[in-house]
Amino acid sequence: MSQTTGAGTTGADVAIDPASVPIADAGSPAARPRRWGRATLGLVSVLAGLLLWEIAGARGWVNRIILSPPHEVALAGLELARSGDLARHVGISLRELGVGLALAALVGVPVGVLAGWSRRFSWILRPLTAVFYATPVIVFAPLIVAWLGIGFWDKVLLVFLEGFFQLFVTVSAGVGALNDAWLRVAIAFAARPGFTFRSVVLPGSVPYIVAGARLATGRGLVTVVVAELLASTAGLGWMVAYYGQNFKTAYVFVALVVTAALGMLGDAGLRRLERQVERWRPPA
Amino acid sequence: MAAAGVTSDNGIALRVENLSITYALPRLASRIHAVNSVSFEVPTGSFVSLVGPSGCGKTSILNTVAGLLPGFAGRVAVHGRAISGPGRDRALVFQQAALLPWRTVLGNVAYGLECHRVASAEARRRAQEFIELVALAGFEHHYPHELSGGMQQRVNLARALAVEPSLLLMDEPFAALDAQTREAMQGELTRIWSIRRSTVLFITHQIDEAVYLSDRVVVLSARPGRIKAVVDVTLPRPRSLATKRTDRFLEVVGQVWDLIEPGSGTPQNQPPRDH
Amino acid sequence: MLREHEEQLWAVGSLLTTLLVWEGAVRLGLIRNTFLPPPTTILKAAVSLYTGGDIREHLTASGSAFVIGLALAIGVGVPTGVAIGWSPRLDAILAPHLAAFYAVPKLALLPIVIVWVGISIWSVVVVVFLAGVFPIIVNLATAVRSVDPALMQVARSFEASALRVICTVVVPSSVPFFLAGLRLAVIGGLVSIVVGEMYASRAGIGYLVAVTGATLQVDKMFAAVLCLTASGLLALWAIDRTQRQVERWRPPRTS
Repeated sequence: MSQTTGAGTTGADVAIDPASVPIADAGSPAARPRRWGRATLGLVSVLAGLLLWEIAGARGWVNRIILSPPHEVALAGLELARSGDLARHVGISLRELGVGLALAALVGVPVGVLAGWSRRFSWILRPLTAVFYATPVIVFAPLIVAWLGIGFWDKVLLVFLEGFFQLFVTVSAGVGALNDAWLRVAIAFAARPGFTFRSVVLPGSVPYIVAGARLATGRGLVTVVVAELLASTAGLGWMVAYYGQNFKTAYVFVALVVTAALGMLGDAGLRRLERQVERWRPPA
Repeated sequence: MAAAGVTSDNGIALRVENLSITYALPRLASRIHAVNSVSFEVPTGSFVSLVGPSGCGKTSILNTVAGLLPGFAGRVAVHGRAISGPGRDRALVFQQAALLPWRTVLGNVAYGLECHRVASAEARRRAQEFIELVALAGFEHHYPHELSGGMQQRVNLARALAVEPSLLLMDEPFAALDAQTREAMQGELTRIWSIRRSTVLFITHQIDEAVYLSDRVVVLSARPGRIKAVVDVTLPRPRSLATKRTDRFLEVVGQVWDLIEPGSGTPQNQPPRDH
Repeated sequence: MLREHEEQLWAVGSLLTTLLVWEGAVRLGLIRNTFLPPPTTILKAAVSLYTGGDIREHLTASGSAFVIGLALAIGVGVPTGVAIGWSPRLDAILAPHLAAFYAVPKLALLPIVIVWVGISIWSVVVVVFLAGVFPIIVNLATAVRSVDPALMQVARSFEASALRVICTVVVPSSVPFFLAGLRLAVIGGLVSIVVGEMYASRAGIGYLVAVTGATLQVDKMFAAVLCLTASGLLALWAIDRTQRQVERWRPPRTS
């Protein structure tokens, strides 16, 4: 019944995308006493880092324009928050992300499941996915902007393309690797194909759908910010470009910190969902 | 739970006639003759085992009877009717429990019934009885990963029993268990079988397991599988695990071994017995 | 024999069908030529770009930025990753920093990088480096942590020196992880080249894509994208090839 990676799988089988490795995660009960030490060490390290950054700025070791000291960033952040600007830009970016992801899920999940289920279908799609695997979606940004103009929908399209791809690859691979034994049970009990699909393929693909959603969300956020960086009138990426061009680095850092925070929150939230959905899995 | 309705079978639940199974290996452009012209019968209500060395084709035979391997030569009839694919009259107990991990014990036992298009609520109601039969009452809402290997196999068994098949097919169900659990499960299976009196075709490597459980042991030769011998086991029922230590039992086991490998069944250094 | 190559036949068939439908749709006027040019036009544009000599300069510019950035990523990433994998304490210290850095889109650092380095090919090198260094660090750390302890014990039981242990046990078992990280670094590097050049350079494939795209010279733009895709596929194929060579000793995966 083993279908998750366990001891003995290596990088050959599982290309480790940093997005999927919980960097600060120890997990097993045996590691718990160590975990406490880890957390403190990490915290101290972060504080030390911030302190060093602050001192470097104050002493002029580093040009303040390149690396704004933490207190300036904090002040800039407060100002943006108070004026409502921050909320506005975050809202725009999140909306672009949300709509793009929703569309990507709507199309990507069914297509992914189908591709995992039907070998022929996956063979048909294989060349197209191979091409897009090596082509970053953002390459089409200038063209898409030329088609749709600078605004909301060009970002949505980019997020959709990126998200669709992530979901498709993850879901189709997962469904394709579905444990044969489960399918054999359904067949041996003379189940109709429709019932087999409903009772084995769908529940079995849920973990992969959630994993794909997590990747799509992470990459989607990056896509939104970068697309806004290149061409937009508002949003987190716009903040980075605008304040960057005006050498107001502290504000740039605010945008970066907010982006990082959103990314980490989203990822943590989806990991949570993953665990909920997989209550039936043995703890890894 | 005797076979319903079908009468043209003369009390034979399964008749296999001149069954030959061949596998094609396209990559090597060759064919493997797994089974060569095997014929045997399983009377209704009896427990019959197929034994033989690895590769003798016993699993292929079982899968063919289950309807999972369509391209065979010869005739396989269940209660007088030739089979064509999987059917509701047969149920398979797998070697690896193959429980759906997202379903509880109750959900898994009911699964076979749901495949047979029984409504979910009704299926679960019927499943309860079989959960109790395999002595897993109280574990209805556990997930498979919370169960031991032996318990998972019980769920596997209950799932097959729940559809009340005419023919129960068991594919080395205890092979993956440790020796003690295996013995316990053999005892359990005998107990359950004596209550239900299903017709069973059982596959195993282990001669003593086959003799203990069955009314008849069919011995297959190595690949390509052929019937080497058929032994009717006349040990009295009900049989408890203690039966395995009796002289009579060991004699029968020896008999079977002798048929597989002449001379191997006779224990050495035994004083001649006067009967 | 047909059945063996069935998969390839479907793939090729699908590709050809897509191209034919695409070509037909534009020629029949279903899609505007300025919106999406037909494959033949793109091919013509690609040829003219190449023979015109222009594209070679751009390729060199992008290519060198890519290679230098990647080399730096490997040079910094491998030792860092190994160190982190080796020492749990170092891991605990650096983990939150890495996590924070990872959550920031590296390309969003472009404006700051430009302030630091200026608008030149070196900004692109920096972003390629940033994109590549993280996957390599993470993968190498995992590689070191995943070394089979049984193998380490064997080496130690033969009283092998630390260096020998590293060379004979750690390095070979880490190669697949390294290659996996390299693959991610290449993909990230491609994105960085494109965006980096779009934003901060006056040469390179990414720049070409941006300029032709923005001026709606769609055929040239697609030709440039094609070029990029081809390079990317080539790089990934090379890595896969290496992986297969290196892993000849592995038992085949049971599919």
